[in-house]
Amino acid sequence: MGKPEKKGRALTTVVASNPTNIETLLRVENLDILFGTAKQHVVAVDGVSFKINTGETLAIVGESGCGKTVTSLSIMGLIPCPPGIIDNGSIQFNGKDLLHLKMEEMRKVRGNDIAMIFQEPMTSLNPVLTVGLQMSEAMMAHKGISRKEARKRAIEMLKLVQIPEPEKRMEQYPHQLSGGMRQRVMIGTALSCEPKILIADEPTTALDVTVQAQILDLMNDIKAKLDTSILFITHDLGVVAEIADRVLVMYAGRTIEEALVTELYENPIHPYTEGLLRAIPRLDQYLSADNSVKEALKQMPGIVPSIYKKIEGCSFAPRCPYARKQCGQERPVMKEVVPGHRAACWKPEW
Amino acid sequence: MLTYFIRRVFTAILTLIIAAFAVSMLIYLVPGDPVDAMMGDSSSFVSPERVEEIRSQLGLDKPVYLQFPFFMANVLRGDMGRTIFGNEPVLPLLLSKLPNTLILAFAGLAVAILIGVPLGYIAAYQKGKFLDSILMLGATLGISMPVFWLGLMLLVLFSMMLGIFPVAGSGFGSLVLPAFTSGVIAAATIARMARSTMVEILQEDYIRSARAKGLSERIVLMRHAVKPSLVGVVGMIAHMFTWMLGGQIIIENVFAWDGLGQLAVSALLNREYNLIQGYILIYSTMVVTISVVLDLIYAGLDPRIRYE
Amino acid sequence: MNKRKIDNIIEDLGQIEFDERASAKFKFKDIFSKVIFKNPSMAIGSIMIFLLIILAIIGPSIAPYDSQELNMSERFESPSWNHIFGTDNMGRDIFSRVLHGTRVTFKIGLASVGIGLAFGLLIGLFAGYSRGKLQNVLMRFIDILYSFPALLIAMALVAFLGPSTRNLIIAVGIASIRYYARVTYGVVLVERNKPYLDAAEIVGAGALRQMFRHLIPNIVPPLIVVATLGFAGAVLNAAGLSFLGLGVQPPTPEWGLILSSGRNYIIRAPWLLIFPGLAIMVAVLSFNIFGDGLRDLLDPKQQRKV
Repeated sequence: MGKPEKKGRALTTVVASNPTNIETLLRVENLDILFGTAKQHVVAVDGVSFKINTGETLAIVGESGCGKTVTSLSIMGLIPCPPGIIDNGSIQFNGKDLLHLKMEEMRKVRGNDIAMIFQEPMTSLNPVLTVGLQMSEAMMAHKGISRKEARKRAIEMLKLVQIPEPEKRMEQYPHQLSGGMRQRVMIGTALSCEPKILIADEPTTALDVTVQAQILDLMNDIKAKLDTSILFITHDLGVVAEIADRVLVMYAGRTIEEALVTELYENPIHPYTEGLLRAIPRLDQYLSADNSVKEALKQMPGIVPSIYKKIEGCSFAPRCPYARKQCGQERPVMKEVVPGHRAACWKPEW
Repeated sequence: MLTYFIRRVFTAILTLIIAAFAVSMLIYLVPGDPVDAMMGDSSSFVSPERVEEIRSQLGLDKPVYLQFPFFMANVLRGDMGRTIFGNEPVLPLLLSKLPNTLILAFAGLAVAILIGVPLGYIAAYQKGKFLDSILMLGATLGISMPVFWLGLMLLVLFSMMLGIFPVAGSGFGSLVLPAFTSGVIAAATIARMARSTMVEILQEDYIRSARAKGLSERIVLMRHAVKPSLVGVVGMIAHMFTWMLGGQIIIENVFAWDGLGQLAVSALLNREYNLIQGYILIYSTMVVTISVVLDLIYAGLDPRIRYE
Repeated sequence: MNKRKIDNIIEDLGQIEFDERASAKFKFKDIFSKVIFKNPSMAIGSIMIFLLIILAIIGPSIAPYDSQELNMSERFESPSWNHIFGTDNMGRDIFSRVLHGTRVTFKIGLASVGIGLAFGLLIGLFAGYSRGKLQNVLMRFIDILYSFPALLIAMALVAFLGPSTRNLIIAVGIASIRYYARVTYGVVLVERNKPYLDAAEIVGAGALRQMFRHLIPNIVPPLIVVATLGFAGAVLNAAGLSFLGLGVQPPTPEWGLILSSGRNYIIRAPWLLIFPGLAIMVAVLSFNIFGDGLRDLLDPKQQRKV
């Protein structure tokens, strides 16, 4: 109702959303993140802007090294500094600029208002602590409740994420759980403080295909129940179709296209998005292999920082089949091409 | 868990048997006749009967292949022979010196842990910063320093020039310097190890997830980082403990501490082969015991071992 | 578009190969400017080691006095311009003795590392390569040796062999075999399962050829690190044994021995202890610093982080 655009979506499960108001929960503007020193650095995130509304799922899509993980970590205030430097921009949440919060204030946001789950459920849980403790501690830190109370709620969370025998699981250690189970534990932990936003950084990439589908179903389910906004980070456009409302495509640290998921699938503007979409059915794997190779050589300058040069024009120009002279010289900015559909490309103007 | 423990104990016993075998064979390393070597210049004063007695004590009157069974049988009866000079039974003599050595080793270990572990952790947390460089420079100096030199320098400074601690003896006052000397040297190794372990752990994904939960830095470090690091650090501490028990040979010599090490050095210099063999066996037993205890501690610290 | 993607892949693969070759050449050419001096501990360590080697070679000829020369009229002289490290109870110049000691120390260190390295490499290679009982027994034995401090093993050997410089070298060398054996064994276990060994076998390379042509090049880098740190340990252990009277015998000017013979005059002439001790420390420190830097450089984990 509040979000009529969702109705046309065929691929996702229908999601109940807050009908009363679409309000912007998180607004990232002109974010620049560097790695290295002030003199010698690489640009990991270059002028990224986006927003997340209440109850919506935004997917950031891009290949490894494109800056999507760094963007999400910066929202959490988890960019290690040094070598990370947030050079410019703002991250507005609840009327506060997260980039200017004191450490202690930011700590209260983390895990409480904004929670995050990571790609590797295998290594993201502490091997020497029980599942129960790792689930309860966020609640004990933020909600000021006793260990006993936190334990009770942790068991409820385990039920919510559909883990059988939750009481038994509480006493177990991560190595006794399967990968999918561990990711469920991570999700349960992240949701335990009822965060307004859940950032999921490739939560299904390390899992088997069948388990992937289960985790995606679970996330959709929970979103419907708790009305949490989700920032979903992935390299897999197939997964995006399963979960997202809106998509933001990133390439080499820049945002290049943003649209509702159906619009993007039906009418991609940027040649990179077009390429990604064409590659989905068969060549998905070849594509990512190709891209990671490309990244390792050129766009992932973390390996050889000194040789990195700032890209003058469009960062995709060297690989773009439509590239003209202008593309190598002038940098395209994000512009609304079709209502609600923005892209950073010169092509629509030709 | 139980099979794990039984396997460890079995390995320990096997280790001891192999050590005993090696020890019993050491006597054949002696160039020429061992008894002549033992007697040295005084050999002309010793009666041929006594020489024969010593030969049979060392098992030299038997063929090589009987050497080990003979030695082992005696050891199992608690008989490690007698000293040549003084004719004292070896085992009681060694055991009488054991408490002093253990006291010194534990005191040194305490110093090593108290200095080494926290400094290593601090350096890891400050990785790449000034404090880290200073601490690691200090630790590298520590592992490069001859322990006897540090001991003698401290002795000159604190006992002889300042007169704070006694030069020798076995009271608490005289424990301070030797314990500090061996402790500081061991702390250097422990600190380097603790640092590298902690540096790795701080880069682990689970530390990032702990921070993402908004836990306080204290909990992130104490609960999520220190606990996983303990397996490595405790292993290193145990290793340093065996080093310390062996290194006592030098420390005790420098500080005239009346323990096993002193006895061992005089045995080595006087070629008291029985005594040396006894010392190595006692030492091996301690090493093996430590390793079994260590395995139990591992199981307590790491659930992955516990549930194997 | 898809064809273009595939073209890209091919193009990129070509580039990788090209880049790797180029960077390998680059490193070899600029080994000093780009590798050694980029890493401060390697730079400092290599300069210190270089100076020590120079001293070991020319030290005895630049020493102001004969290291053995007795001079009863100049006993216990404190450090001065004539005797910058002072003199001992027999009037011998400590500075000259310490200079001579550099050569003795290098001799002991190199020879014992050589023994440890040679036997350790052989044991590790054969244990790692043969997939049978031999492997188990050998490595089991190495494991057992591992639970004893090297100093103690060396001491037990010297005790029975008799104290002398030669036996000291043998004992310290044997006590260090385990380090080299274990590192070699570890590398061989990893490399053994890689396809290139099968490839070599298919081409008809025999076991020996496989070991020496294909395995050794992989084992050398970690072994250099272990040998550098092992040299430091050997010097320390040898000095300790000589200090106890179980190593080098008087009147050879060995640092541990000079220090030990100064113990009786600890109050009267502390310089007899200070300078040889410092010499040991500087030598050990140089190799430790260099070895640390080398390990950081060769450690793949470190490289990944950069």
